[in-house]
Amino acid sequence: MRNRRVRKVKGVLWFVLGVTFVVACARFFSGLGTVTDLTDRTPWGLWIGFDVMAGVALAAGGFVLAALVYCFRQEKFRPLLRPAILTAFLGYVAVAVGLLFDLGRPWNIWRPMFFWQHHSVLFEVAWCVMLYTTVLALEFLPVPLEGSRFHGVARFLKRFSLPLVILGIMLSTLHQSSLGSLFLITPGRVHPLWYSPILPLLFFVSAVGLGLAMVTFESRATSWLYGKKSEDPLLISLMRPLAVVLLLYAGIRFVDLAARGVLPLAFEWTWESTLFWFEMVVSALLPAALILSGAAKKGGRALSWIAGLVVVGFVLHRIDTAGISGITRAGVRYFPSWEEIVTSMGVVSAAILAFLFFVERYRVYPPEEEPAEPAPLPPVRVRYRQFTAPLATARSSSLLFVIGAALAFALLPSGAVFGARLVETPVRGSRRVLARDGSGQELLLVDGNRANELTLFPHDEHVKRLGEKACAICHHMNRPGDRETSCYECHRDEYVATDLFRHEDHVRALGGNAGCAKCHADPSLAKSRGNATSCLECHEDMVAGGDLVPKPAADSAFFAPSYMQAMHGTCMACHEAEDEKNGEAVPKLALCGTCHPDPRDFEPTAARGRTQE
Amino acid sequence: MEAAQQRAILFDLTRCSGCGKCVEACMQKQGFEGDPSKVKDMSATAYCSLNTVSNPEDSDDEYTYRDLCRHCVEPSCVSVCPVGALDKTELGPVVYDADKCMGCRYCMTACPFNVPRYEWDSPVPTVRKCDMCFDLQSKGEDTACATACSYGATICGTREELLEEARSRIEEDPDDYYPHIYGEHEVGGTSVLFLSPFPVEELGFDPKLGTDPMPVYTWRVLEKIPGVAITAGATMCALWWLTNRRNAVRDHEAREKIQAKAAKAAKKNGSNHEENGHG
Repeated sequence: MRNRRVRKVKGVLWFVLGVTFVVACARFFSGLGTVTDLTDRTPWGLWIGFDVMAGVALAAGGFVLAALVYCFRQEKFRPLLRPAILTAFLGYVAVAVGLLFDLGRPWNIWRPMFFWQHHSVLFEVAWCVMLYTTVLALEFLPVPLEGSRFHGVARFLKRFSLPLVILGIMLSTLHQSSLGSLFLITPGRVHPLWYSPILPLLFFVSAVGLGLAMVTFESRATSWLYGKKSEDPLLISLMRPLAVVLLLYAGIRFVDLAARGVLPLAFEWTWESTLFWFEMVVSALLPAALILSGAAKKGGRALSWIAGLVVVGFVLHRIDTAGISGITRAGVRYFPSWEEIVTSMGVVSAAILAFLFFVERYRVYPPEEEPAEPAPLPPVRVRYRQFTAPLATARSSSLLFVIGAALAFALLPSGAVFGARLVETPVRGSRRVLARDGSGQELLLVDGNRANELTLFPHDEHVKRLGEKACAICHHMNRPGDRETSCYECHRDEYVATDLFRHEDHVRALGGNAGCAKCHADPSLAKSRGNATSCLECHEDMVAGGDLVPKPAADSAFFAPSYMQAMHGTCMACHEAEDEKNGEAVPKLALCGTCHPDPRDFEPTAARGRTQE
Repeated sequence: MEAAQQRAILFDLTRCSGCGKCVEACMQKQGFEGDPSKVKDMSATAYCSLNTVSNPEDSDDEYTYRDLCRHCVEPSCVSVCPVGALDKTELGPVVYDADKCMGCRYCMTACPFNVPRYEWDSPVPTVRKCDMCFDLQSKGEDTACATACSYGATICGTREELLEEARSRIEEDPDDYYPHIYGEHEVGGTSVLFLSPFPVEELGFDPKLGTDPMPVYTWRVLEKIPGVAITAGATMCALWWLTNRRNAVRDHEAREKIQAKAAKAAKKNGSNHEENGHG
């Protein structure tokens, strides 16, 4: 029964890990953009908000319990100390792993160690986290070492536990608060209900609360999982200090809001204020009220609920500060992709699996029916046997891992698996038709410009005109992702933006349907621009002759050059050539300002057209 | 080098025609492919963009302005970078060194003008932003955008010269300008200055940003760190000592009580048992 419960939980964790494994591969091979929904406006997302911000805070139990046991000499809490230290250690390792996912260039993560930037909060956080993880490792090391042949090392390390604990508390105080300081420089991003000059203080106080809640929560969870005797009496005595910390936190928060004069914002009932109240109620007000009402005195589920609320509430606080509260200000909506969410879950799953590994193999929790102070030598072997996963467990876990990985493969967009690919845009609708003029000529009906407009394309004519070797011009000049060259690659003049021709106007002027034949003279051809009568037939006087703008040939041009094109064509080409001949670095005479000394000559609407289209 | 002597850019909204030569020149200089006329926002392949802003009093009265890295005198991005990948050079431009970068993107979060862009689709991504043509400027040449502009809408010079120029422009045509040089004092001063015919927030110079350099917000807290660390450590040591001492005193007193009792009992039983009380 007990084993089955453990096996089920582990199975789920391994499954999540399997999915994460594949997502991780995609992230490292194809870049952050392929699996995350991060944007230039929202460069930090769930991986920073949850994995790092909340991760560090969730691991606060280590230093809080260590302070309680070593500095306040509350010896009765000692049985909770080892799991708290272990959670903290694994939590910090998880933060580091989560950070590796998020960093764009994770291979440079070592740099803060050697290139000091004392003005950066992140630099300070990096150092504290590195040092504190080391401290935690040293604090925890005696557990796996005791009873082994390195028992001496364990005894040696234990002698330094007090200085280590004090160093750990110092480092924790610094970086728990500094995670809040990270956002001091971004007042524009964080909503005023969260942004405060005392963010570091709020982060620190809430970390203490969260530490106590985590210790409670994980003790209850492991008791449930392994069906071992609960430590409720101890946990109940943690509730009072927890309530004090929560009320202190709420007090500081409200006094700060009032002092900054933004308290009214909390009553405006925008979604931010709703989020604020939700977060405050879940993280501090409700749990504190539950504790004070005496609900926790009996222990049991009430403890789990209180601790769970605090955990959820403060995790939300970190995520809110790191991003959610600023969503409307960034102007871009960010919601984590499923890949981001799974990866965060995967990191947590790995940490939990590691936690269970240590719990099953070493004396993390004091053996039942023994004094709290652990005797130096082990029933280690016994516990090892007791909790060793049977082979069946390992096998079903591996299977779930593989299933998870396969599922992730199936769900990932192809770009994430195979790398970002160019979208292919082959010419569509290629269909052979016979020319209606009875010449027997074969035409192709193609959407040559991928513009959803079919054109009759005289393929054979092109071959004849360009010669046999010219196949490559259309079929191998392709841009990446294109299968064939678009028509406009050669016929650029047909697609200039300043097309003056208005079909409707001509229809009206030429008397409706009766006027069709005026331009579409040959009834055997599809009515198209390509075979219509050229503009010049009717509008010969409209194009100036004898200058640098070539007069469109009578049979091919259907566009009148615009005034701007005409002038630019007349003047600028020559000026540019002249300037170049004279060795001018910048063709000054060809610059706009040479002819248009006053920028106000330009219609603002023209400028708008240029930038917005 | 003093901030006044550092290289800077002055952009004058009233003189910009929106011709886009600056964007074109910039992309050409950086070797970016793409159509400059289609640039709507800065991106990993466009270090500056032309945007429109309308007169708050007359929405039809539209102007174009350039969006680009402001090269702040005290840049947030440089101050937050934990590895020193961003650097405010002596010359003025804020430059980026990809080899040092670890990709934390704190610079992107911290920038009050939302300037840095990221190569999201690269497995070896870099931060992309205007470098104020550091290579050209260190040779004494103007930036590509300033060279391309024929209206004096974008000009290049030392910050001092440009502030002087801006003031004289405002003085000469007081009707054409809102009498404020955007970037002179905002966030401690920027090296890209803006002149506008009307007050603007769209340019990123949100009045809420204030005139303190952004790194000050952080430094106010960071400078307290050694103090906090020592206080925390000392408090914990003191607590440990106090509780230890209290426990010791309590034990001692308890022991004395027992001794006193024993002594009393011993007295009653006679003086030959006295020694046992001291055990």
